[in-house]
Parts: sequence; C-alpha cells; structure tokens
Amino acid sequence: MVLMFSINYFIFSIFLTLFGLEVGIAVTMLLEYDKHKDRMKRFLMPLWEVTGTFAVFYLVNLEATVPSLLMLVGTIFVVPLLVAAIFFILRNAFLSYSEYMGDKSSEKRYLHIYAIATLLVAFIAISVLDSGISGIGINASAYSINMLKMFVNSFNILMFIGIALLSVFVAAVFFDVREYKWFSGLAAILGIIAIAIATHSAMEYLFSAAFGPGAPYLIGLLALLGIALYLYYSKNKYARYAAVLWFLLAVNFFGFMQSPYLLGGTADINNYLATGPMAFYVNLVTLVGGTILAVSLVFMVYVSYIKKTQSTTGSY
Amino acid sequence: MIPVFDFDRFLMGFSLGVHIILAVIGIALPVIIVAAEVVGIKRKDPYYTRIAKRLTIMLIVFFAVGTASGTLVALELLFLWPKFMVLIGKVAILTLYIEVFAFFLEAIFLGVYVYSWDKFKNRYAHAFTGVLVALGAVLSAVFITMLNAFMNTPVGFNIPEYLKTGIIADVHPLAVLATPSTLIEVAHVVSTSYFAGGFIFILYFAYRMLKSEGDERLHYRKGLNIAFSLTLIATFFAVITGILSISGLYSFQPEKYAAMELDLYPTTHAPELLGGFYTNGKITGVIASIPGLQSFLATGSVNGSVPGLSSYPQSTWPPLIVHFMFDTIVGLGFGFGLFMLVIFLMLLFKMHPFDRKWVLVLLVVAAVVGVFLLELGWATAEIGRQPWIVYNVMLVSQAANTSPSIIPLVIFFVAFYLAVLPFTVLVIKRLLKDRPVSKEQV
Repeated sequence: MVLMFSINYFIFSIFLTLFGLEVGIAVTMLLEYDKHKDRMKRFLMPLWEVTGTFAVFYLVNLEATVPSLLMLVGTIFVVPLLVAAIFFILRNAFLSYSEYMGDKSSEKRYLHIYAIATLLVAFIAISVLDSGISGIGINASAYSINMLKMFVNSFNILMFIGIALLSVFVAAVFFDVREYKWFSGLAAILGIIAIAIATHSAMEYLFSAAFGPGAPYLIGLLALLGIALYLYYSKNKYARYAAVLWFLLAVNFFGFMQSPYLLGGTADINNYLATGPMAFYVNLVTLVGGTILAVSLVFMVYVSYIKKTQSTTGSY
Repeated sequence: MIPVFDFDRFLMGFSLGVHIILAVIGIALPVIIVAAEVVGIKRKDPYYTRIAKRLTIMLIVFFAVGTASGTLVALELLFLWPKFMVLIGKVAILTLYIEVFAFFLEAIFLGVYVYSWDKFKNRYAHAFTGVLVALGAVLSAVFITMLNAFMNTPVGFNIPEYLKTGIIADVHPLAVLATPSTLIEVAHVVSTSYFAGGFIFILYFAYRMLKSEGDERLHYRKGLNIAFSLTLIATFFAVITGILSISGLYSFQPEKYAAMELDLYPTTHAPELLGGFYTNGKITGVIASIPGLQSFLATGSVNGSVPGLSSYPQSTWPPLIVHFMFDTIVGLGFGFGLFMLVIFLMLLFKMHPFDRKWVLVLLVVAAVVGVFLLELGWATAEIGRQPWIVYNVMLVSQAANTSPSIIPLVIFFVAFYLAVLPFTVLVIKRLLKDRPVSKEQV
C-alpha cells in the first residue's frame, strides 16, 4: 500500500517542480525584470493554471489516500495553509492582470506582486512540508501547533534557502539566463549544502525511516550534486529539460528518505492509508485520469512551445 | 456567545457565495466565446471573432481568480470540517477526485485556447479546444454537485452501523456517483449555472449597448444575441428542473420539503401557501392559499398526502425562513420565464427588442436579479439542509473545527474577498478600455 502514498508524493513532487520553476522565475523577475520578463512570461502564461491545478490534484489525492489523517492535518495546518491560499489568490490574480496590461509600469508592478506572492506561498508550503516531515512545532496528540517554532527553526529556514537556490539553478539553466550562469552552478552547490546542513541540524527529528542518515543519504546528495554540475557545464540542447527532471528527482529523493513516516517518525503512513474497494477505485481513477492528463499536457506543450504559427483558413 | 462552528459556517457560506458567481461565469463564458468564434468563422463576420477574443481576456482573469477561490474552498472544506472530510475521504471522495481531472481538462485547454489563436490552420480546430474548456468547466460542476447530492441523500456505506458505532463499513465507492438526488440536482445546477452565467453577460452587453453607438454598439448587439440565446435555453431547463427538484425533495428529504412548504402537519389535499411565517407555533402572514395545489404538484393528485414538520423533532427542523426564500425563488423564477418568453416572442415577430432602450434597461435589471436568484437558490438549498451537513448522518456542529484560531481568519478572509473582487472587475474594465473594440485584431 506504500505505492498509493508514493503516487501521492509523486504528484506533490510534480507540483513542487513546476512551482519551483516559478520560484526561480519570481527571483529573476525581482532582480532582472527588464532583461528577462518577456521570455519568462512566454513560458509561464500557458502553464501557470496547470501548476495551480496540480496543487488541487495533490490536495484531493491526499484526501483520498490518507482519509484518517485528515482530522490531524485539517486541525493543525489550518492557519498557515489558509494564509498561503490568500497569497495563492494574489499570485493567480496579479499574474492574470499583468497578461493584457498595456501600461508597462502597471505590468511591472503586477508581476512584482506576483513574484512576492509566489515566494511567500513557497515559504509557507515548504514550512508545512518540513514540519509535516519532521514534526517540529507539532504536538500531534494535542492536535496543536506552535507556529513560531514551525516557521523559525534551522531545519526549515535552511531547507527553504536550499530549495530556493536549487530553483534559481534550474530556472537559470532552463531559461539560459546568462547573467546568472556563474551563479547558477554555485546556487546548486550551495543549495545542496544548505539542505545537507538542514537535515543534519534536525537529525533528532528525522530519519527514523528505512534509509537512515548514513551512506545512502550521502551518496544521494553527492549524486545530485554531480548531475547538477554536469548539467551546468553541458552544451547539450536537452540539458535545460534535464535540469527540470533533476529538480523532480531531488524532490523525490528528499521525500522518500523519510518514507513511510511523517511527523519525525511518529506517524507511519501505512496506518492511515485508504484500503479495500476505495483504494482500488482511487488507483483506477489515478491511472485513467493520469493518462488523459499526460496526453493533454503533451498536446499543450506541443501547441504552446513547439508548433509554429500558421496562416489560417477561414480568415477574412 | 456565538459558537465557533457558526464562524466556520459563515466563512464557508461566504466563500461559496463568492465562488459560485465566479464558477457560473467560468461555466457560461467558454460557451459564449466558442459560440461567437464558430459563428464568426461560419458567417465570416469579424464582429463575432472580436467578441470571442475580447471575452477571452475576461475568461483568463476570472479563471485565475476563480480557480484560486476554488482552491481556497477545497482547503476550507478540509480545515473547517475535518470530521466531514474524513467521512468523504472514506466514502465519497471519488466525486472530488474525478472533478480534479475535469479541472485539469479546463485548465490545460484554456492555456491552449488562449495562446494558440494563430497556431491552427483550420480555425474550427482552435474553436474545438474551446469546447474542451467548456466541457471541463461543466464537468467540474457536475462532479461537485454529485458531492452535494451525497450530502443531501447519503448512500454508499452502512449508515445504521455508523450512527451506532461511528465505524464506516460496507463502503461502495461508486454509489456516490448515483445517489437518489444526483440526476435532478446535477440537471438543476447545470441549467441554473448557464442561466445565471448567461445573465451576467447579458448584463455586460446590454449595459455596453446603452453606453455606446455606431460600430461599437453593433459589436455589443451581436454579443447580446449570443448571450441571450444561451440564457433563453437555460431558463427553460432551469424552470423545468426546478419543479422536478421539489418533487425530489418530497421523496428523499421530506423534512426539508415540509420546511420549504411550511407544512406543520402531514396532510392530504394540501394547499400551496404563498407567503407566511412561523411564529410562536403558528403560521401568520399568508398572502394566499391555493387549495390542493401543493398536493397536486408533489403527487399528481389534489388529494395526495404531504409530510409535515411535526413528524420530526424540532431540534432538526431547518430555519423556517426557507419557506419565504423558496416562495421568492418560485415567484422570481416564473417572472424570469415570462420575461424571457416575451423577449423571445418579440424576436420571433421581428420586433427588434434589443434596439429598444427599455428592453436593454430591463435586461440589466433582470441580470442583477438573476444573480441574486442564483445565490438565493443556493442559500435555500443549503439552509434547508441545516442542521445537517450530511442529511440524517452528521450534524454541522459535529463536523466543525472548533478551534478559536478560526475567528480572526474569518474576519480576514471576508475583508480580503471584499477587496479582491471589486479590484478584479476594475482591472478587467481597464484591460478592455485599453483595447478599444475598433482596434481589436481579428
């Protein structure tokens, strides 16, 4: 049954990868707006709704996968996630406002609000994820949360910095942002180091799980770093796409290190998973819906990014 | 002292009340856009293509705010009603889960539709991607309504066992897709969504017609043709399905039915009460009482028997204001039916109603009332189910998150929504103003 939760985490990792690219875009928009705005928007505009939809996909799949855990999740994370939802609305709204805005200064202002909202959503979402994994700030038996402890702890802050740096690396490679070329390689190294220190600092909360903190973790980190540096130096035209897949791999690596435990090893996912006929139908819908989704996404990528402009029939 | 679950209730109601407007726009608008595009291609009429392109700007902004508000509602379901969501997660989650894929269909093809006007050789192929947006939007509504139908007529698990022990057993996951009330609820929600969404664009086009002249007026006139056609069809189905919904309540939610009809006691030859309030154990303020009509509408016979509230403990009665709300809906619903019929006949006899100022003014007023009617219909359905969140299975008070941390969030969210929505409308107005109709490329 761990397969079911693995699917759930995989959906989350796709969302985080797409959103990670947005974090990289947000940072670039804030720092180098004039140079890169057009290229970033051209990429972002057909895709941003899909990223948002993946967030809902993850949420509903979570409800289907671990229904018994919902009382706990629903009670402790209510405030941070509803606040994140506010920033998510701002992200959507201001990005769409900017799309057809003729006035350049308003467009810039709206895109900066979009970028800040995106970073704030990312910070809150990663904090919730971190505290869900580590249990820092959570008293599960009392269904309570210490929000200051949840947000302000070395594990969370360093994880956020690490993930943000990796996002900048991926965005820089993906969009070939030359100003950051030297920085992007460094960002990957610093990002991995930040995450390594973060996990080390929270050792008492982490790694009650199958892998443990030893050799597999270290080898994994070094492998991720090696691939990042290879992509950084590679002249291959597909390296930019591989960078996105690398991010997906990194997210999954960190997640599966903890599998199948949550809350610092105190909650075993297997005890909360859906079972019986419901599990079967959830998996069936995932398979059928996932296939339709994959085909639709391929079509979207083809039409939006590959297909050339046509002269149409039936024009006036 | 107000119980915390009333804050939960208020926030959920407020969020849904706002989201419902964005949702009906998201359902009706793609249909209007695709219709305009297809008519434009078929008649080689650039006005219609221009309408499609300009409405697409609105669609993208409303979709952006609508999906975010939908995500918020999804989170609120989990956070405000955790015990309810545990039940849903174990018994009825398939509706929400399948809905996600409908949502994906809408989101993905919206991206394709909006950004690929010049990517297809055959312009019908582009229009077809818009059809998929419209399909995704309406399927989302269908699956969400299925969940609401489950809340009204729960099936798919051993309810007596659950009520006795709290254990969820004998789960049939597919049962949620076809509860006794599913078909009629879905039909009514879909038709009223097109009705209200269509009226919002009647409001837009009629108002713009009043404010413009010449070529621009012609542009809005053609837009009004399309919005009116959609709304006319939807009105017909909304009235029919509305009547059938009441029969459904009679069969499957007799207590709610009795509250909406203000039937204190089970009876035969029941009159239809127009107006009336329940105060101190008595009904007062009845405007008219039509003998036998209620029995006839519910059972097909003037002597048919109807349920009464006295058969149920008073603690489970819904607030009886629902009778007044229900009467208002019925009155306005028939008023709309007649109004649309008159305009349709004027069109049929080539009386050019849309060239008459008084018709345009009435359409603007009617559209505002139409949106009010949508909200009122939804509120009546939800208040009528109180105090149950899942009819006869789980009370709202049992399902709620009673943490006091909810209260400041409620205040903040209400203020936030009140700021975002007018700002969104203002931005759309500015976006369209910056792109005059005459300069829109086709």
